[in-house]
Amino acid sequence: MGRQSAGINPSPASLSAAGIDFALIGHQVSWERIVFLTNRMRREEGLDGLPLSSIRPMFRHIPPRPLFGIELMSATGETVRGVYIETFIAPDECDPAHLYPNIARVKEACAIAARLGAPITALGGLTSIVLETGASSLKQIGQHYFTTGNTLTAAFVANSIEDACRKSGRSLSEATLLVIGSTGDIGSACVRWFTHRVKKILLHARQPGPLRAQADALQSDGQPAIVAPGGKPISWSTDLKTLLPQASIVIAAASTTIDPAYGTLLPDDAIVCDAGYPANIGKTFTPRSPVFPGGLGVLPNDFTTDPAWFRPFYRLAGPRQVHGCLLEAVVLALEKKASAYSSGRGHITIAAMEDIFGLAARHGITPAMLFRPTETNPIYEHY
Amino acid sequence: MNLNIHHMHSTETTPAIPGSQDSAILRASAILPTQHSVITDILSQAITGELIGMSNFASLTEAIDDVHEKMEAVEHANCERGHAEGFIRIAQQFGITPRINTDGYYWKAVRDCFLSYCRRKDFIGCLVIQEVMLECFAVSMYNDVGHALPGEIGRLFLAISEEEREHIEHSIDLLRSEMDKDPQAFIEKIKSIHFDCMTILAEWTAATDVRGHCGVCKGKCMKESLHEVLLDVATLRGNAMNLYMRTLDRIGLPAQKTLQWVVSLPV
Repeated sequence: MGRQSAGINPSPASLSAAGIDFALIGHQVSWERIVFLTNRMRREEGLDGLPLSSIRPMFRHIPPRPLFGIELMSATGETVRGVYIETFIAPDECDPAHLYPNIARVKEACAIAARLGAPITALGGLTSIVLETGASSLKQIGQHYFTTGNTLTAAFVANSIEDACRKSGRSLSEATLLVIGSTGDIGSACVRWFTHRVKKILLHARQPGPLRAQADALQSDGQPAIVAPGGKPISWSTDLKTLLPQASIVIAAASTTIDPAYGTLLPDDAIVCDAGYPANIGKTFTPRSPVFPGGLGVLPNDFTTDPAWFRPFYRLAGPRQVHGCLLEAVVLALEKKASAYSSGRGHITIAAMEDIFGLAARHGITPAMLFRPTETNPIYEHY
Repeated sequence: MNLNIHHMHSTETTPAIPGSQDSAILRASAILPTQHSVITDILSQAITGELIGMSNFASLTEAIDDVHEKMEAVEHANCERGHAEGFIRIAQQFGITPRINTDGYYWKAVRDCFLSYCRRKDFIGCLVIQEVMLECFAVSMYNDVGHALPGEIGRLFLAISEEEREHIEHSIDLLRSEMDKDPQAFIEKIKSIHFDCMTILAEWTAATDVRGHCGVCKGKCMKESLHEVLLDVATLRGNAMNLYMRTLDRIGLPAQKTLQWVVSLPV
């Protein structure tokens, strides 16, 4: 992996001296974690913590910057080092109204990753909007490549769904799959993957045009599909109530607000997987069946951060769990195959999913099982 | 030091103030009555700050041996004097009487902080305080104020903001090469200067007037009236800190550490 001198100085001196193998660009979805981070830094300086009301006004003025180094070892014993770059997109500014300022922040973070010499950089969560909105120039800066990481995320989602079906004794071939956000990058990849693997696919998206085209393509491929809203008024596109009662599996691959009343429309035993970061289906949607976070992978060994006190900053429900989009860059770094592996929208192929999944498996990176938090079990109950 | 601007003498670089009392009244009519007080305070802070900058650069000539840097410091001092005069002139044009008090709490603290480094002949310390910390605040705040204030006053703030930006540029290469000599020692040094000086600026721009009245605003703290010109202190401070962090990034200081320093300032 190419080692280049850094033009911007990340925190750990060791990183700038030796170069890095990958970078991860991210953002925060909760103020609680930001309060934690800020006050952890203040305590390092011997100061008291601040309340959110004092932290919130300053947060949105912080320019994107590398926060900490990451080091991890694969199952084959190979070690790669990277850096986490925070965009400082505010949790309450992830909506389309802030699209252009957010894109500017992501572009700045990409430029930092390139200056730091990261051969491959993953754009986590919302930050992938830059690549998905067709800014082809951001597939790479010089010899530094960017990936949305959506291919491995989609592969993990698909594998987790299949695993959940097996473990719950259900026949995938008899299942009816509803993909919310079916025309998006991860959604369309899931549709592609499950075509001919499930009995029926239900498509849901905001825009009727792309949705109809997707349905036409599916039906010409021989996959029974039910289309909504089918070219009718745009308001249909967010109306899930005709689809939810028929679904035995739901993949939420796009951020959407679902009427809380729709929670009762889903069959009790439906498998619901939310593939988004931030969570796609809001807290208001509470079906009788649990909603599982999807698209996560598990590392063979825990990773370390530099400074070490940043480790709790990235903490998911299960041990050694990491978002698939970030792991795609790690896998490409381990394989020394820096490329814009996932870019644009709707280009993820089954072959690409199988390839990156296989590469991840070679390094001991496996999909996380679907799980759910419970009030009584702080560890989380596996499906 | 309290100055009455009407006693200041014009020099060859401070041309006589054009316009009659009538034109001052005409110009002042462009300012809403509700804005008069806060614009007076903004100009008071700007003039006082420029005079502190002028004094700092003048003092700097005693802290450096290099004759070229010495001459440049004099030039910068003169530049700050010109800015102060520009603000004074526009205040008069608009019939505004600013309060200039270089002994006001925060500005005196800034000056004392600078002089403490100056007395030690710590050229790098002086440069960081004046050309990084103070100029970042000046460039950013003048830019925000310039876009918020009407007509000529706004344009003057924007023009001076651009000129102050050159001072920042002047320091970056020099500080970068200084860091290359001994990065760890440089980081520790900048951290120490940061908490010495930026703490004062952070208190000055805190949500409330934490140290009591600043001694420059004419009435109540102007932070309470900034909304009259569609400004707020959180945004002014946030943008200034943003430019400060970006400047430290360009010098090559560790991005995570400088963030830690900034979030550790008083709010």
